Amino acid sequence: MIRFQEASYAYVKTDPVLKGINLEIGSGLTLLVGPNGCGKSTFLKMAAGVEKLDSGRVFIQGFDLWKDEVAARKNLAYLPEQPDLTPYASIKEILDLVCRLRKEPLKKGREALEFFGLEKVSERTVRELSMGQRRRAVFAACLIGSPPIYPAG
Amino acid sequence: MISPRICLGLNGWIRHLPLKSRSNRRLALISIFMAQVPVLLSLSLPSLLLSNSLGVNPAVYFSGLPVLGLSSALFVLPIRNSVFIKPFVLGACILSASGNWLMLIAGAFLFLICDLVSGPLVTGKKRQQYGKVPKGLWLSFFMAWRALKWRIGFPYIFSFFILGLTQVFIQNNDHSPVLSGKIYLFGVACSAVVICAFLAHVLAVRRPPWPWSRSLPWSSRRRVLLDAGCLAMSTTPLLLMAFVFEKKTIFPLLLSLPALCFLSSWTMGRVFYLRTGAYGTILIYGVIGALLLCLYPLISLVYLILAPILLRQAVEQERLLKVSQWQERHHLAAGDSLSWSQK
Repeated sequence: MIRFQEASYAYVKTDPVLKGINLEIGSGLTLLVGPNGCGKSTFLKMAAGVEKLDSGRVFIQGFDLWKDEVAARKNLAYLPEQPDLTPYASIKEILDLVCRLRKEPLKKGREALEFFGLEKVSERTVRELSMGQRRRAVFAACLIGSPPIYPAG
Repeated sequence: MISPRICLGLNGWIRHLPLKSRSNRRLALISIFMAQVPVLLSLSLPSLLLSNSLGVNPAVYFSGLPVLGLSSALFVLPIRNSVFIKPFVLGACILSASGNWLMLIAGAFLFLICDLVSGPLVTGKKRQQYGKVPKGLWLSFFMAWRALKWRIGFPYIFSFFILGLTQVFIQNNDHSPVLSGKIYLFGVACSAVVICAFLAHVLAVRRPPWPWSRSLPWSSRRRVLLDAGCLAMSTTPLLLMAFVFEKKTIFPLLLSLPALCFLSSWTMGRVFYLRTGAYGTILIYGVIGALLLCLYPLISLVYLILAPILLRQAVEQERLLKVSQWQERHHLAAGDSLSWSQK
């Protein structure tokens, strides 16, 4: 479950994107719909712990996202709009890091690579992958540890 | 520094427009030249002084500046025939600054020929293969070092230069052993500050926050500690050297190091808002801190007590980062999530 409590956020102080949001998202598929630029992606970034709220709190499965950072984040896997991977590590290394952080054996990373057909390109960095391969790599990372919540942009 | 950023923008969407590759290259050349204009203008004053002292017509030097700017722009441009062209372009640079009309005309002529035969801009991405690294969180260190690449050498050269100057100063002046020790401590501390300031700035610019990684189960504290650890490890050669030459300096240095590293991590988080980048803050606070350390070595205990406070500030700063906001300033790629694709 994701719970927003009096959540506010602004990229520019004078122009808030989210203002005093109180919301609870339960289990199952929840779709977020709205016009362009209304803050859907920003909302997801808040839910995934990518951006910190200016005020208010976010709870993931009862854990405060910014006070119990590790416990809360263990319950989610964020799938961003842009496959946002670092160019300073290969896909395999990134998946190893994810395995280590989610306390999963490294073989889970190999299995995820295999499942998404990325074994042959696993030694490559994001710069040498097509957009589709990048998306698959982020998918593979998300599946490691099977967390219950997937905020997906 | 300018060339990669300008050429990066010429590699994408713009290439489908009806424009010859030669025109594309010349646009890049003019862009680099325009970026150099302030430097060329500032060169006009030394040119005037030089022409006065040599008794040469200053117009020769002034007329040479545009040719110098264009030639140096062509020198840094990634072009197909760069290997063959570069020596000639360098020659054009030298001729244009020689202060002789004939040489200047020859330089301009050489530049024009080089421009004609230089070929199109080189595009495409370089294949990047990284060697095997230890698993897990060590990857964070390697990612930092991969982002720094050969740039890691610069702060060492500069800091060892400071250390060398300190040694020369001690050798050539009569001081009591206590004072020599204090001077040496100041030199080493300043060197450590230089290393941290430089590496923190380059890391903040070349390895901007990785937004997606913030959704992974690790805390902001851990990320800050990893950065601070990377900076601390980078000062190891300096500390070893300090230990070899003046053993007494090592304890105050080791006690002060956490505070310096956390200050650097904190500054890395604020780099968008600082007009001097991370350098200014770290150098100012660092050198003042080093001065106090050399005067009162026991202050290192205060630095040690301050370290957790600085760590807390750095962690809070890391949390407050608006990682998906476009924050490009002073040619920093930091904060721009799309800058991951930057060469």
